[in-house]
Amino acid sequence: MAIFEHTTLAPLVETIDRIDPQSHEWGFAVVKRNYLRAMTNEAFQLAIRPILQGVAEAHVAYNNDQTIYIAWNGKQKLIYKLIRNLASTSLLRPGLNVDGNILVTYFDPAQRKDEIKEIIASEEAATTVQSDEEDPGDFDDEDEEDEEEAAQGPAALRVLPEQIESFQETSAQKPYRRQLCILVVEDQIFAQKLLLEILRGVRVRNNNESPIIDTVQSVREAWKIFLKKAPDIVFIDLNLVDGSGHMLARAIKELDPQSQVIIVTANNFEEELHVARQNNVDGFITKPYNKKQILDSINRYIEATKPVKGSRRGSSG
Amino acid sequence: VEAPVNLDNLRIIADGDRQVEAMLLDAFLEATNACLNKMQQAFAAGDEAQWRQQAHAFKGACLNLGADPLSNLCNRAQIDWRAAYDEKKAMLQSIEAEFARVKEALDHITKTGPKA
Repeated sequence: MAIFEHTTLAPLVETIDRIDPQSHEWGFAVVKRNYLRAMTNEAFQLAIRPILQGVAEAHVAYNNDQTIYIAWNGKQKLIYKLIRNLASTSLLRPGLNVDGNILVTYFDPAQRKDEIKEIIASEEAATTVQSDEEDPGDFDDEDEEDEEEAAQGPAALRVLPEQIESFQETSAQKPYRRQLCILVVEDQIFAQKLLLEILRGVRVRNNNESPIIDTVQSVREAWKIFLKKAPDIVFIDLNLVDGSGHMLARAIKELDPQSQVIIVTANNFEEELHVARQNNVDGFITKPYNKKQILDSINRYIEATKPVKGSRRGSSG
Repeated sequence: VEAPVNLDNLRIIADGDRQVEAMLLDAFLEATNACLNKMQQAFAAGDEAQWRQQAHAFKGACLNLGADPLSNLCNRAQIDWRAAYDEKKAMLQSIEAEFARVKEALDHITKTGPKA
């Protein structure tokens, strides 16, 4: 498995050229980035990497600020679905009417090789000529707002070296904390209150203390609290006001693989589960919230972190 | 006809505390009224992304409450987010009607208390 990321289109064209016309292993998608909230290459890379992890070879080329080309070898349909889902569900600008606009276009490179090459060539030329043109359509004079949105979305998951240092210090204290630290990331008031009611019933066995629970509604707030408090367990809803819970989950597991991340969602879709698995999350709970499932996920964490000197934690609901 | 709500799961979570149950029901109504308003606005504005997002949020709240028939209608609205105007209008009307049934049931439960 290899993911190649390019800032020019030539390597992508070379890849398309070497695809055997008899082979139907490759997929190719054009993602119109104008319609995505993720405005930086870095943010998009973070989102697309887990999706492409399961394929034999993948190329992601960033031509400009508008279009991203993705070619991949293996799992044609599934990967296309995941890319489309990422674009339309997780990264779409809020309030944007996408009627008539194609977010992600799929091509079979074996059959439409020449067409793909023509598209790449014409987009490349158009970029040079139209680089000063405004965005089309619904959001042509909202640049400042867009930048702010981008800052609040996936780009908000950036972490500074000094933050990592401070996080590691806090994280090292986890086994010695008297209370379990839980972060709930959920933007709907009803779901939030239900989950809090379940979590309030949790008691840590040795000292019978209830957990410390932080509740936030956005990716940005969650990341801030995570870096500051290094919670033991994080419950994450997938559809958040400023981005995807998948991205947050991935960022958390990358920074601290020991953190227990539980996805809670009303979307019982195979694609969501696949991305969650790729992100190495520890649990995937579909709504309705089930008290036992939530308590079991906490107990699993406590069991996994048990062999610590002088501190045996366990919970009861 | 399937009952509009089944509060068994909610009651397990509330652990027999009537105040907690009432607080959760208020939260449900607050969240879902907002979802319905936003869906109505999205329909009027032809805003498909907003329609889909609110249908999803509405569905989640209904699943958590135990309002399964309403959650099924919201799920359909979420899946068919690009449906034609007339189809969406019909979906919205069904959701409004079922939501009224849910509210009526909750009102009745609040006044009479849970069945033994």
